[in-house]
Amino acid sequence: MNDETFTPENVDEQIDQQLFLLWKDQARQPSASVVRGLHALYEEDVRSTAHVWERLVWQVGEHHFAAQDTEHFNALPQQRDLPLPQVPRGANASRRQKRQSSRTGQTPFGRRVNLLVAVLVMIALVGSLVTVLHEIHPNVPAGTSGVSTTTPSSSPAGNTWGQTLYTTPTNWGFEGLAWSSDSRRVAVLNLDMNRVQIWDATTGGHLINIRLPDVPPSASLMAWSPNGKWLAISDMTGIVMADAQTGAIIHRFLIASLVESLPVPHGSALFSSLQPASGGFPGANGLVWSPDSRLLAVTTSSVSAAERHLSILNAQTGTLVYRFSDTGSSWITVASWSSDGKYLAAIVGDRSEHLMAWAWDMSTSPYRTVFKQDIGIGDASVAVWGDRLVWQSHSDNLAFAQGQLGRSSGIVLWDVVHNKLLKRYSIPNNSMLTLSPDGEYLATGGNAANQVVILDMQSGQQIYIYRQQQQIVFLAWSPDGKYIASCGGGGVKVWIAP
Amino acid sequence: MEHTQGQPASALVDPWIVGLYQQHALSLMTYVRRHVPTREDAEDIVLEVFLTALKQQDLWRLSAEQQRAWLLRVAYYKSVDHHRRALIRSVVPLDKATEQFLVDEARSPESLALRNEEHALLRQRLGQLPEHYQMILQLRFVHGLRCTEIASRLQKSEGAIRMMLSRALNSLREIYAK
Repeated sequence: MNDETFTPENVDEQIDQQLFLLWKDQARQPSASVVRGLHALYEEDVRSTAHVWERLVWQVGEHHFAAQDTEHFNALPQQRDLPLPQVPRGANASRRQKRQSSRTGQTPFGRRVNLLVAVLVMIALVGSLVTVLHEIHPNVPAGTSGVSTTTPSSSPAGNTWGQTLYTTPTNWGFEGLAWSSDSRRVAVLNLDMNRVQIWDATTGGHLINIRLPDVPPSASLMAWSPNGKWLAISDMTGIVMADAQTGAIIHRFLIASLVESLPVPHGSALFSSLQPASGGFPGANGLVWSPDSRLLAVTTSSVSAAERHLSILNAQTGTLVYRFSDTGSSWITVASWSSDGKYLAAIVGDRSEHLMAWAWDMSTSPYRTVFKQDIGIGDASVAVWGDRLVWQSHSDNLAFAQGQLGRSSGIVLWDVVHNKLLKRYSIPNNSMLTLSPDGEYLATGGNAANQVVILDMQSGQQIYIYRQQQQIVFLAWSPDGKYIASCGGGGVKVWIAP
Repeated sequence: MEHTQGQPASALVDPWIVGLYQQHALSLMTYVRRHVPTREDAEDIVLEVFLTALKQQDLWRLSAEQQRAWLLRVAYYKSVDHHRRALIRSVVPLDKATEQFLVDEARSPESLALRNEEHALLRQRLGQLPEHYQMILQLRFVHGLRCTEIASRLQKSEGAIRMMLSRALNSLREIYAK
């Protein structure tokens, strides 16, 4: 049995294979042992969780029935049960935290029956969890060979649309994309090496590596200033500001880790962090430059990821300029600043997982909300990718994908000032957007078909489809309109745009 | 999603409690197991956390992430209390800790001891991994998600998830490679 280390390209298949060998009781090779060990560890935790639930139900039941023995059974019904609130329109009915209708005067026998039902339900739930751990997943996903090939659709005769000019030599670990303002350079976050890499877009030459301070790597987003001078890189603790020409790190801004009771005064410096807690991706989660390169719009969250805020920072000093407080949301991702700097847009989710596109007039004080439109229902735990909401250049028109996240029903174009729907493009399951600098074309991707569809925004006609074998997770149109950079499972590719 | 307050007795069959438990119990258990030595103690702590949660009448108003943060804070402090109490407790015999394996497999004491040691080391090393690596492992091994699905859930590229998952496994694999 060939016991190899796990490789990114085949890790899913290797785990499946080792799980299969687990049942065949193969020799104790390291790869099989670690998979077996993790399987046993998590299985143990699942069993413990089920055991604790049984104890919890019985403890509460014992407490309840003991209390019942001393209750006055002539209590009026309204003293036992509070009226239920109306469920908000659009609330996701599949969420587990939804109350049943009010009950009236159940008998002790009825309560015991309910207890039995609750236990049986939990046994069924736990049984499904245990079944998951014992399932073998033999299916090998297609297209995971790791070899990048480009098979663009045919373009009009004589055109070179989709022709790849440059592909990174490695396929894995890239995330995020940013073009320099002169369209000559591309910056990409390389998670594998914990650095940002900048190179000549069409040749790969003049490579600059910006080594990031955090170990282990936690950088998640990156944005190139419109004036071409700086790269802002967000991670769990804040923002790293680097010189885009030399790669030198100029500043490091620590983002406040928020506690409900701690107010954040405007204009003050940024604050200390909390004790780390499990889960979540804290720090700066959204990052957008103002067109004049003076300000950064940042979505920040605490290390417990319990609070999220949309803030405007002075890009030179990291000083907080403004914090939005009117969203009443549980999820915010800043998305896009209009080309004239007048409007800022973001995707906002409320506690019922209802996502909306918001826009503010940045020329007023305080910033005035001018636009709110439904995006759809989405699980707040499923993070929103960047570039789902973009401004059409030289206009006040905002384009975004609509429908449930991950399964969008189409892309819409709204006139923000007049609150008017201008266009609807029927592109199912695509939710990543980039617009051509002249505002005439829209490129959209992010679906399982691993393709980028390019539309004429005026007519809505598809003019080109770019396909590759691997998943595409980031798209960016060059500022001069000539190229599109895509990033995903096949590495980073720069290809000729229509 | 809005909720109404209910009397403690009605919480027994309250879908909110079921939902809270279903959403957070497993990750809470994994977290607590890193901080206490035995499964039984971890179960006691997790039980105490949720009994405490039942008494928090406003907990249902919080978002899922706020609930998670609250549960983890309570679990942390209860784990600290557990360690303080453990200072005056007698040591649990090793054969009691191996009871589960004796029930599951017929193995020699030497094999069982080695396996216990590897298991404990695996849990320790797992706890030392960065939180996002641990989350990825849990999504893969408990929920059975493929890298594509994990990437979608965590706002990462599939390539990044594959890289982190393989790194985590290779790091843990060293326990068994000696």
